[in-house]
Amino acid sequence: MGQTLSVRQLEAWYGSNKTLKGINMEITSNHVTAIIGPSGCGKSTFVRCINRMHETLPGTKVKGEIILDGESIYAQDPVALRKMVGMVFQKANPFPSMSIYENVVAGVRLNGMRNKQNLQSIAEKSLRMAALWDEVKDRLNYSGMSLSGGQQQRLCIARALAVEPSVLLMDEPASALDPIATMHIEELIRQLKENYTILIVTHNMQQAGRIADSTAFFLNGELVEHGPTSEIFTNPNDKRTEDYITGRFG
Amino acid sequence: MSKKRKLKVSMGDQTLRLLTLLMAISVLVLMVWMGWQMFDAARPSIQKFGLGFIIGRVWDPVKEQFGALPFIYGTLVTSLLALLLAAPIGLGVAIFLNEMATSKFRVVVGFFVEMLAAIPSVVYGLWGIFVLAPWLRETVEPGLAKWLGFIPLFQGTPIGFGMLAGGLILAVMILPTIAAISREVMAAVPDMQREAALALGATKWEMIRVAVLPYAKSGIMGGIMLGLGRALGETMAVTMVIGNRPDILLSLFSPAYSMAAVIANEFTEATYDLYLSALVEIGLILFGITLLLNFFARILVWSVARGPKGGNLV
Amino acid sequence: MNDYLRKYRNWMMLGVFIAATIIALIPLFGVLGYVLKNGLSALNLQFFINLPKAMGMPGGGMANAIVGTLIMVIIASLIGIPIGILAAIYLTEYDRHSWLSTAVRFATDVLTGIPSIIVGIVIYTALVLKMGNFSALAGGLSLAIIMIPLIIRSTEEMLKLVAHSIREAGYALGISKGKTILRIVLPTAAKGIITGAMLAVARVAGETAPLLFTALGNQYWARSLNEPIASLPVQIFQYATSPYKEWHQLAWAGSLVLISIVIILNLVARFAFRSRSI
Repeated sequence: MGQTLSVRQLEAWYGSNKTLKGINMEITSNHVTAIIGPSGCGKSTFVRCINRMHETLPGTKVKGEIILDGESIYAQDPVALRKMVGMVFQKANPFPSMSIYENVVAGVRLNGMRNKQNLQSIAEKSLRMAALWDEVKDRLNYSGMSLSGGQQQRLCIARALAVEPSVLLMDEPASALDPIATMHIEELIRQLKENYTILIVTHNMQQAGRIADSTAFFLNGELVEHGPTSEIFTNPNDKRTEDYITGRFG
Repeated sequence: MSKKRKLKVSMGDQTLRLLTLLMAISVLVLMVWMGWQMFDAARPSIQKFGLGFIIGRVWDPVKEQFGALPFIYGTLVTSLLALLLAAPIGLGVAIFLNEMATSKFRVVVGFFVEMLAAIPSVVYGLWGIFVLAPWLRETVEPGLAKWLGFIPLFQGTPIGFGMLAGGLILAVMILPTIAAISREVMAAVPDMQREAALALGATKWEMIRVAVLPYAKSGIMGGIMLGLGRALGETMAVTMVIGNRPDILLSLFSPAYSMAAVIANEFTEATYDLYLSALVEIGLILFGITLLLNFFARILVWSVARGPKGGNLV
Repeated sequence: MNDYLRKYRNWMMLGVFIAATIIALIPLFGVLGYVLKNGLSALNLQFFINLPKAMGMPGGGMANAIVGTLIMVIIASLIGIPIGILAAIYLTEYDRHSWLSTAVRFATDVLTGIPSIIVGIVIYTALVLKMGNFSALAGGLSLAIIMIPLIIRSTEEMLKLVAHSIREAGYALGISKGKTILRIVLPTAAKGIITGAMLAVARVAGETAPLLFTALGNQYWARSLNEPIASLPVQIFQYATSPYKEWHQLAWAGSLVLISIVIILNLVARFAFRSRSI
């Protein structure tokens, strides 16, 4: 079951550059929330703050509060937090030294699970959820790199799901994929939201329109507007949102 | 829930970080320690002879007189000779491989050039004794004496062993270094520069001369300096062909002695402290020169190729 | 007309560069050729199993030298490879930009450029004099010092080639940094790291100078690691500079064995372990 996320007055710096200027946002559980906005608006930074990946880069700073399931994420071990909040990256990044099977169970196995039965059932379950099982079930010990781009991304999704997070962060997951692979990923996201809270960063507004329950528009490090997707796209409250949506800038 | 999420970096993680930090620091410590060891062991000689050590011409262990000039001379002459030969040829090889050869050729010939660097010094020395020196004595040196004998460099009796042999063998050994670094810095020249020249109608050679070489110039200089550094420190091949006589003579045909060679030959024969200390002081001088040379050479190479490089060839 | 002159000059210069390459390769084939020719004739079973015999007596071998080289290379690798890899991990994974890592990289560069005979001097004054005897241990230690900077350089380069997104993928799964380095990054860079290690081994296997006054040399089997020990390069040197023809032949044979080891290591490292870009 998904979790609620509360973001309170979140500020973030990259060096001396302030990339997030005080974000306040409530993210509904079992929802797909799309984050849209022009390049450099801070949407990737925002999402990377939620699983505390932003801090792994040198020269970064974060202030503010993010509450997950009633607890501040900054009061926890970031490593443990990241088992609750999974992430899928813009470019698929399966581990090159591992097979498909090893990739899927990497998160669980490297954190201590040894039982072969358990691992195999987790692998199958995750690959089915990622709609990849049928395509790879006969070649699980092939290298992860032997798959196509779209398949690799679904492998990464399966890998993220195997850890059983409650929140799934997706940073432009389909931007490097062709339209058909994109379609598969979008279909997958629709199915996943039943059990996960999903945040998806996208520069593709039509995609947001297709799959997101609510959409948030970021501009220059600020959250301009956040609401149900249909409203944002047909009747935005803020002029800046309207300008972006109608393509006056991008 | 809270129990699992406690702020805690695992023991294993901390151990790894500490261990790697320790190993990194130990490298630093190693360098300092080595420098100090050398200095300490050379101290008696430094105190006794002072600066006169460097200009002293006499090396007589029996009379306890130690001057390093013959060795500095031998080292410099052979190394400079090696540089004069290896630099243009090495650069030529680099240009051929990078700018002219097709990729299959490049891999194969490039591999051969790297093999030159892989052959151990002692094997070069062996070949030098039984193949190079006789050839020099019977063919090359008489030839040079006949045609260029008016130059003092090519006078005297050819014996094969001597500074010419040393210089030639060193040239072969440092050529791969110069070639490899030249290749690296030339490869760092952006293609746009090359295309700009070609678009203006330049021939291939003109393109190389105008677009590639000027850009790579300081890097190539750096490579040559690194080659020089390598030549200065080469021990075995040199000691096997240079003749091992601490004389300061003008002719390239005459035997000489290099700093590394005298250390190699006399270290285990040094029967008393001052003797050993004098040999270590020669080593210290060698250490110092190669350190400075390498330092400046790297700055030159980094300025073109951006970042420390050089792999296994230096 | 000017164009014709330029074209002519172009072909001439290209010819010069081809000539340079040919000149450069002549000594390679010269050395390899002579080593093969002279070495092959002296290479027989006795060479590999016998101990050196007194001068003038036939049937001597270099068994102890071959084993001695093997032993010292193993000692050097056991010390040098772990230290080198761990230091490189520190420089790429934990600390790429601080003053400390700059200093360590500088030290690595310095150590790479030190003439190997200097390493021998240091170990002699620090270890041999103190212990009162030459030893395989001292020899192995000298070789380790030569190996360390080579391993650091090549390992660092390989680790840097691992795309940062791989590490991020590991962190994002809730895998700790240490585990990510050991179980994800290292295996990804493994091929290249092994290549670097093999090349470093090939390099120290051929080193003579640092062994001259650390391991010294031995006409017999060393009975412990705390005794002088023979090695292939040192034995070749001693035989080559001796006045005895039989020993000269053995020097060629020894060179053939040494070069074969070095070339095989180089070939395997470069071609069998060629890592694709990650």
